[in-house]
Amino acid sequence: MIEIHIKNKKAYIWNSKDACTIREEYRIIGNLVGSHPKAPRQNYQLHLPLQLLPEETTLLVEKGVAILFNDDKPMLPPIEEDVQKFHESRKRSYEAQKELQLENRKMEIQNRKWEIIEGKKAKRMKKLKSENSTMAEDAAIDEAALEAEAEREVESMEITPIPQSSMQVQIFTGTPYVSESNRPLYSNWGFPSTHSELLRYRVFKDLWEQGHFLTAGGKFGGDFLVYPGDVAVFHSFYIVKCLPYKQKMSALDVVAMARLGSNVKKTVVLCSIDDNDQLCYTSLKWTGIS
Amino acid sequence: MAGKIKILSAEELIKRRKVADQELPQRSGGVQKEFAPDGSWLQEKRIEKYYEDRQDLLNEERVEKLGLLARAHWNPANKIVELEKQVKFWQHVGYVEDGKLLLYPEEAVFLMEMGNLEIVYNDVPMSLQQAYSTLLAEEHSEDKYLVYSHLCRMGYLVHRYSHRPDITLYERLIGLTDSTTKKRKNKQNTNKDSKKCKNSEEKNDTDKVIKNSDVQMKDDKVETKEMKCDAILNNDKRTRVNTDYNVPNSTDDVQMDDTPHIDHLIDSNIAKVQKTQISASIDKARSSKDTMRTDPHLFIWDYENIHPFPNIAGKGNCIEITNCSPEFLPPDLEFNTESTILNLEKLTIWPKKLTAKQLQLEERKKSRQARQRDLEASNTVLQFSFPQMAGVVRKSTNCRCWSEYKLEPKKCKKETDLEELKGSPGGPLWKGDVVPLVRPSNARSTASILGRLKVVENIHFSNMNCSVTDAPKISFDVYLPSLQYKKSNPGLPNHRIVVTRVEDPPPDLAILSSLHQTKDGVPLHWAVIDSGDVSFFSFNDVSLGQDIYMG
Repeated sequence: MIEIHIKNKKAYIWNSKDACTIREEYRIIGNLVGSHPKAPRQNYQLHLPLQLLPEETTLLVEKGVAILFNDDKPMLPPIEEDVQKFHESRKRSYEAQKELQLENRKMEIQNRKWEIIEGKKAKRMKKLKSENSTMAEDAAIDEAALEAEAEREVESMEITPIPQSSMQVQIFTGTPYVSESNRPLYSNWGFPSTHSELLRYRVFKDLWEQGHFLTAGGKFGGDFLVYPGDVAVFHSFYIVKCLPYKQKMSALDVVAMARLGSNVKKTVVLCSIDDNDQLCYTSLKWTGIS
Repeated sequence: MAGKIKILSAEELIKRRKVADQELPQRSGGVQKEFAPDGSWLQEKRIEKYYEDRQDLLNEERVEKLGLLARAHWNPANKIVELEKQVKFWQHVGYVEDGKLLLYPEEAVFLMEMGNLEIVYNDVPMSLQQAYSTLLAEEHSEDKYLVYSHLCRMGYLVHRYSHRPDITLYERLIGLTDSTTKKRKNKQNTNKDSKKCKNSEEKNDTDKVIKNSDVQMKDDKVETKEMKCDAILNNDKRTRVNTDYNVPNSTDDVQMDDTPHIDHLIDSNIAKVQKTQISASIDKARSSKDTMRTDPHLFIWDYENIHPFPNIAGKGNCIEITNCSPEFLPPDLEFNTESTILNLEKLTIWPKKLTAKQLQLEERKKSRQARQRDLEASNTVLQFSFPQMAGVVRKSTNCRCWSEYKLEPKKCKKETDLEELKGSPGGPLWKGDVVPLVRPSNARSTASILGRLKVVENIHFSNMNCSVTDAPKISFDVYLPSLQYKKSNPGLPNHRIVVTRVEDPPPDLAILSSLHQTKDGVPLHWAVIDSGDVSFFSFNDVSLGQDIYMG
């Protein structure tokens, strides 16, 4: 089940698995609104949470693949048990990291053992030479002994464990460790409730069921943008505008919409529900007779 | 059920430390988008690759060294976030109350997203999700947070909107509002400005005075004086523009084009300067029978750097003023000849040969005395009642206050004009209550006639004086990142932001004007939220130019 969390009537997905599933399996795009952990100071590549359109949310629930949780309530005060648990887990993590760090360090020393020994030997030689420069020939005899000594030193080298302040901790994006009872379901997701919402939802659903990919259309002044394939790979074909069936429009509005569509190489599609409760689509095209 | 949230094990945590910042994959694979799916193997692969990249991207977790994380406590009773101790980011965010270091909720959440902060509640750190639902609990606060984080990620310094009511653009220009650290920047600007002015003045052969004052500008204290001088030059330009009958957008007035109210502000300020000067001189004139006593309020203005006259001087010391329109003279003055010679020598306040050298310590005392004497002497010349010099005659006025005095020139002019007109062949036109808008005396250029015919005035947002009670509030002040930025005294913001949602109707004119009431010239932007997308727009004042084909 896809887990959708509703906060202030906005739908968010907080785990990466669901965020990928809805895109790949259900063609639901949504909008990432969080900062990316690796490169937080840019707006180009964002990260969780993934915010969903109300239409997307309702559709997922209606298809029976998603479940809504209530996120309106602030975090409950952690009880003593939770605090204990948390401290323990952090301590465990620290101990484990300390061990791993020690091992890593040892490995590193082993890998570079000969370099270290060489260095130590050279240092020792230099010291000896400066002490008694006359006994130059004796230095040669000492070499093997020096090497052995340096090796012994390396073997017994002490490694200071990392302090707790340099342990790695994870800042959680979604909330882990939550018992089922603390996750109330969201009961009154009232979308769609008005006529215009219903129109938008019916249009969204119909186009989605036809196999299109849809996103919010604010960028081009429409209700939705319709893509033939995944949004990242293809350009959108249509700008969808939802209008009541009997809405009067001035010719100027029509010209403005058609003009916009032709300027961005998309087709403007006017959508509404007719008197027989059927969806009807009308596309606008800019023509000239010459 | 918690299974979907990834909890990293110790090994994974350690491993993440080693991974240096790798490049993020491009959003659409770094290639142009394609037109339509054609079912080809290549396209399929491309989509597959994109999904893989996206999974990697989303599987990334925030991992930080514990020692590098600041800690803040959530206080649910007061709904505040309290920082344990001062940290590096403290210079940009937060505020102090009752000796506590506090963070605004949006700041806390954002720092958490940046991997700088751990918010703990009863010693247990919050997840980002919990921070969202706990800290951003108010209605629409997540919309505001979206705009806040969007701007912060772009590198701006964003603060909650704070109304600083009394800063005028002029004060901003001379750097009164800014912290000392910002002064340097400001000074550069003013230097540039004065240079700009100088250039334009040079074109008009009138820069003698600036040069004089430039020599004197030595230390930082002169900065404001410099601005005054600058302003006077501007004023000079303005009056010149005025005499040209308000041709819009005079070419060298770059500054004025940028900011609509600047000329107005500077003008009013100059008016003040001149008013004081004139009032001083008139006072003097009235008490001229008395012996010269130094009246303290006469010396409020530093006459060393303010010239009683805008520099009209050319190369010589005498200039000829012809056809000086009475509109620009005080009401009680009148030229008695067609042209008049103005002797600048008499107008110069200090001895002409006074150079920077003379200002040196040893001579300072002497020169000050000399100057004092000269000042006293020249103050008598300063008065506008020098008929012997300018060939003007002082008429008697019976004004009791300044407002009456200011109305005087119009009245005088109107009366004399009307008398003339009534006597002319077209006289009947001017009798009665309804009279033509244009008078023969206006027929000096097309622009002046068009100016008279303009019945409906252009109105700017800031002059509309609307107050709407339920107007949306300005949410944020946005500053450009700068090393000199000081949280305690940030100065004026570079932008202001109002947050709206896509379903909100666009603001009407009343709302717009009420939000533009702050007259400090900071651009106001509207951020529109469309389910996670942020876009900005702004409303700008436009003054339509006037086409003049002739004259």
